[in-house]
Amino acid sequence: MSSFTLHRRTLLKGVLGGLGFGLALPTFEAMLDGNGTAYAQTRLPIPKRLGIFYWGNGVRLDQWNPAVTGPAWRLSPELAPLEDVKDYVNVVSGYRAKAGYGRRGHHDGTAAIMSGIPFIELPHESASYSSKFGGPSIDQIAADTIGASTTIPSLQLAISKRLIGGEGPTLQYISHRGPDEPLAPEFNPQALFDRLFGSFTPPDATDPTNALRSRALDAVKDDAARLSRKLGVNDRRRLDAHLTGIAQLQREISALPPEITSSCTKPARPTERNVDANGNEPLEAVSHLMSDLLAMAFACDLTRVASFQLTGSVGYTVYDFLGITRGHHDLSHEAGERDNVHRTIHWNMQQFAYLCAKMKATEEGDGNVLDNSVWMATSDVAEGESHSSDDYPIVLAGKAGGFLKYPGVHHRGTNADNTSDVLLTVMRSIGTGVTSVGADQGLSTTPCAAIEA
Amino acid sequence: MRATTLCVALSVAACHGNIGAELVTPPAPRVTPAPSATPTASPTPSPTTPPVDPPKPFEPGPPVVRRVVGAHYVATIGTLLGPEAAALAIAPPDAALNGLDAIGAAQLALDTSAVRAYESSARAVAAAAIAHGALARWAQCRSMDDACYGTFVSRFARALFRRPLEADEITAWVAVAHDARVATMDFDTGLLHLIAGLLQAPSFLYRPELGADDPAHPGWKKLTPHELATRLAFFLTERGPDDALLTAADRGELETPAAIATHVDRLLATPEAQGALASYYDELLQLRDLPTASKNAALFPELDDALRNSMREETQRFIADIVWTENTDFRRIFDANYTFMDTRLATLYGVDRGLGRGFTKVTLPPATKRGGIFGQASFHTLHSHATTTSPTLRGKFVREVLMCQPIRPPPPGVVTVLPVDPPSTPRTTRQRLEDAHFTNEGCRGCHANMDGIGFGLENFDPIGKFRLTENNLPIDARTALDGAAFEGAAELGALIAPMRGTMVCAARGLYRQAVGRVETENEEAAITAIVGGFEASGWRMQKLLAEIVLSDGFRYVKAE
Repeated sequence: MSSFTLHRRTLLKGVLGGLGFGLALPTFEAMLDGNGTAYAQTRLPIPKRLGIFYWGNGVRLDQWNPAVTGPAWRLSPELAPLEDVKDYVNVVSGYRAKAGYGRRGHHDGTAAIMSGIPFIELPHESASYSSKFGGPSIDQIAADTIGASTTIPSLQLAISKRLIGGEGPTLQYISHRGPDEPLAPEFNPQALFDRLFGSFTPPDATDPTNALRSRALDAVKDDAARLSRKLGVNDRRRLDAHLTGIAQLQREISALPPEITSSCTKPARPTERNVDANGNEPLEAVSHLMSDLLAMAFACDLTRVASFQLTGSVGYTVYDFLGITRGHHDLSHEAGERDNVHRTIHWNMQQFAYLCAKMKATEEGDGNVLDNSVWMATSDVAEGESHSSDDYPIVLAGKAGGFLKYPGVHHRGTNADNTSDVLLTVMRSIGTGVTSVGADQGLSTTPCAAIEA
Repeated sequence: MRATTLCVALSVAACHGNIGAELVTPPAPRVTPAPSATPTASPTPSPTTPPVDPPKPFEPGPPVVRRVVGAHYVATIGTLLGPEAAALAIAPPDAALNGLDAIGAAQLALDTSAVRAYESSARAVAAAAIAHGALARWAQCRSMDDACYGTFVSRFARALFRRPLEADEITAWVAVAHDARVATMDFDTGLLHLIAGLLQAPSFLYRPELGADDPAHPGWKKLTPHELATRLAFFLTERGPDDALLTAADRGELETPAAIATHVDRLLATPEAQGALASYYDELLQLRDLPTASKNAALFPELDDALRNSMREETQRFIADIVWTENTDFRRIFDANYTFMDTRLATLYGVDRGLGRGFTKVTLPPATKRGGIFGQASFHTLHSHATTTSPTLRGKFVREVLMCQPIRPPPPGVVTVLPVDPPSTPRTTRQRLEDAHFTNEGCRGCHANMDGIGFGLENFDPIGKFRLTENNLPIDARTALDGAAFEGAAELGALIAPMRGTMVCAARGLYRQAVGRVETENEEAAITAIVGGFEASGWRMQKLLAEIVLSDGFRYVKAE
C-alpha cells in the first residue's frame, strides 16, 4: 500500500486572486470500478482505514474476557453490546503491555498500548510528576503512510472533557507524533463538521479570502525559517512541527469541494458543541455525532486514520445518566462500586458498537466501510482497580480488507505475550509496510498471527 | 493529579524525593523537622539518610524557546490592540509539565489544531482591532498605501515581536498587505491580512531565550537585552515588554542589576503585576479548575457557578491582600486569622451574616477552626471527591504543591481498592482510610504523610462547609503533622507557616515559572541566594519576585 502515496485522481488546479493552488479531491463512488473493489481510474484498491477507540480506567476482567477461546467464542457481559457486529470482532486477551511495564500505573499502559514504546519520565525530585510518550503512537505511523495522500492525514477526537492535565501529555492525549508533539483532540462536533465538510460549499470564485489567508501563512513560514536558523536541534524540531501544521492548514484551506454521491454526502451541520448542561456532559449525543461524522469522513476519503478518546486516562468522567455520581477513576477504586464500574464499561462498549455499526452501515463498493477498516478498542490499564497491565483488554473490529480473521476469534495468550504484537498486526492489516512496532521491552517483530486471516 | 490512588500494599515506603538525598524515608518514627538552612533537606530526616552534598557553585541552566502561554497571548493582544480585540483572542490550550504550563510551553510543540486555532483567532482579532479603531496609536497615515503599512509594521511588530525588525522583514510583511490590497482594492483588507499574519508569526508566539556570549563568563551566555526585557515582562506582567522596557533594551540599558531593578520596581507597582501573580496562583492552587470540579449536585445543591466563583475570589483576594495591600510576611497565607467573604461564603461558612455587597475582610473566630488557605472552601472543594472528602488528596496537595515533597505512586499490581462498608455499620471517611491504609505498614509509609494531614481537616466537608459528624458518627480531627499534634485548618497553618521549606518551595515554583524549567542541580546556589533575600525581607513576596529577576539564574543561560 505504500504505492498509495500518489494522488489517485486528477490533481485539480484552481486559481484565485492570482494565486494558484491545487489539491486531490476526496473519493466518490462514481470513481469506483465495476467490481466495487478498486478505483476505476487507477485500479488501486479501496483504501484501508485505522481507528483507535480508547477509554480510561480499564475494564473488569471477570466481565470482559470471553469464557471460550477460538472461533466458537461468545460475547462476555461487557462485550455484549457488540452483538450486531460480532462477526467483525477479534478479541485478544492474556497479553501484557510490556513497554514501561510496572513503572507507573496508567502512564505505562497508555504509552504501551498506543505506541509500544516506554514513556519518558520528567525530572520530579521536588516537582510534580509528569511524563511524555517515548515516540509516536501507531495512528501517527499510519498517518504518515496510509494517511499521507488524504486531505487530513489523521483525526483526533475526544468526547469526555474530564481529563487529567497535571501529569503531562501521556495522560492527557492518546495521539502523539513524538515525545514533544502530543496531538490535541477535537471535542466539539460542530467544529469537526466545519473542518471536514466546510469545503463541501464551493468557494466563490471572485472571493480571494482563502488565497489571501494562505498568502499570510506563507509569510508566517518565512518568519519561522528566520527563527529556526538560530535554534538547536530540539527546538528546531518543534518549529518544524509548527510548520507542518501550517502546511496542513493551507492544504485544508485550499481543498476543493467533493462531488456528492450516494456514499459520500454532506451531513447536516450539528448544533451540538459538547457544552455541559447543569454540570453534566452530553456524552452520548457527542459520541454518536462524532461517530456519524467519522463514518462520512472515511466514506468521502477525507481521512483514513482516527483516534477516538471516549474518556481519559485516570479520567474523572461522571456517568450521571447511569445514576452514578462519582468521578470514574474514584469509582474504579471502590470495591462497593464494582457493579457501577461494570455498567460504565458496558456503556463504553455501547458507544463502540454504535461506531462500528455506523461504519458497517456505510456502504462502499460492494461492501461497507467496516470491511475495509480496523478499529482497535482498548484502555489505559487492564483493570482500573489495580492499575494492572496484565491480561490487557484489546478488541479489533473490522476485516481490514480481508487481512483479519472473519468471522473473528477470541485468541488468548500467555502473559508472556506482548501487546505490541497486536499493534504490529494492526499496522500490517492496513498496509503500512511496517515490520516492527515499539521499542525496548515493548518491541515486537512478531505479529499476532492467530487473528490474521 | 486530581484523582487519588488509595492504598498500597508493599514494603519500602519511599515517599519523598529530595535532590541530593537518597529516596528513603522510613515511615516511623517521625520527628518534628527543625528549621534547616538547606532548602533540599528532607522534612523527615532519619539517621540513615546520607549527608546532603555540599552546595555546587552556580552554573546557569540550559537555554529555552518558550511558547507564549494562552493567558499571556490574550493579555498582550489586549495591551497592543485593545479590549475588543482581546475579547476575541483565543489561544490553543496549554499543557502543563511538572505542574506548570510555563514548563510545558518550553518543551511541547504546536500541532495542526493549535495552528488552526491561532489562525482563526488572529483573523477575528485583526478584524476587531480595525473595526474599533485600535490601530491609530500605531500609525497615522496621510495616504493609504504601502508606506503606511510600513510605518505600522515597524512600530506594531516591534512591540509584538519584542525587538526591532530588520528592513527585509518589514518589506516581507508589507508585501502581505500589498497583495491583499491589490486583490481586493481595499486598504483595510490589506491591514487585516497583515495583522492576522503578524499575530501568527513565530516571532510573536515564541520567546527564544538563548543569550549571547559574555566575555566575563566563558561557558555562560547572557540573555540579550531584548530577551531579558521579554523574560522580565512576561514574568512580572504576563505580557510583552512595554515601550519603556523595549526602549531601554534598544539602548542597551539593561546590563546591570541596578538598571534592571529600576524596571522591576516600576512594573511591580502596576496592576498587571498583580494580575500576573494572581494568574500564577490560579494555576498553582488549581483555582481555575473550580468551575468544573465534579460534585454531587444532590448532596451539594448550593454549589452553583456563583459560589464556585466566590470560592476562587476569596483565595485570590486573600493572597492579594498579603502581597499587595499589606505587603507583609507571605507565610500569613498559612496562618492568617482572617479571610475575605461575600454573603454566599458567609452562609456556607456559617459565620455572621449582615455583610454588604461584594467581599469583606472578616476575622475568623477560633471556633471556626479556619485560618489561612487550608480553611478556605476553594482548598476543600478542589481536593475532595464528588461525594466525600479525601484526606489523601488534601494531604497530597499540601505535601507536593506547598512543601515540594512529591509522593511516590503505588507500585503496580497491588490492591488499590477500598473495601465495602456494610450498610448496617457505617464508618467515617477517616475510619475507612485508617483501616485500609494504616493497618499495613507498606501502605502506612506514604499514606501517613498524606492522610495524616487530611484527617485534621475532616470538619470541612467536600465543599468546605463545617461539620461535626459524618454518617451520624462524630468526626475526630485530632492528628499530627510530622509528629506535631494539630486539629483544624488554623492549627495546621500555624504548624506549617514557620517551616522554612514551604517558603523555599514557594520560591522554587516561581523560579520555575520565570525560567520555564525545573531548576538544575547547578542552579541550587541561585535558589539559595534568592531565598536568602526573600528571608531577609521578612518573607515579602514582592521582594521574592525582584530577587528572582535579579538572580544570575534569570539573566544567564548555559552555552551549548
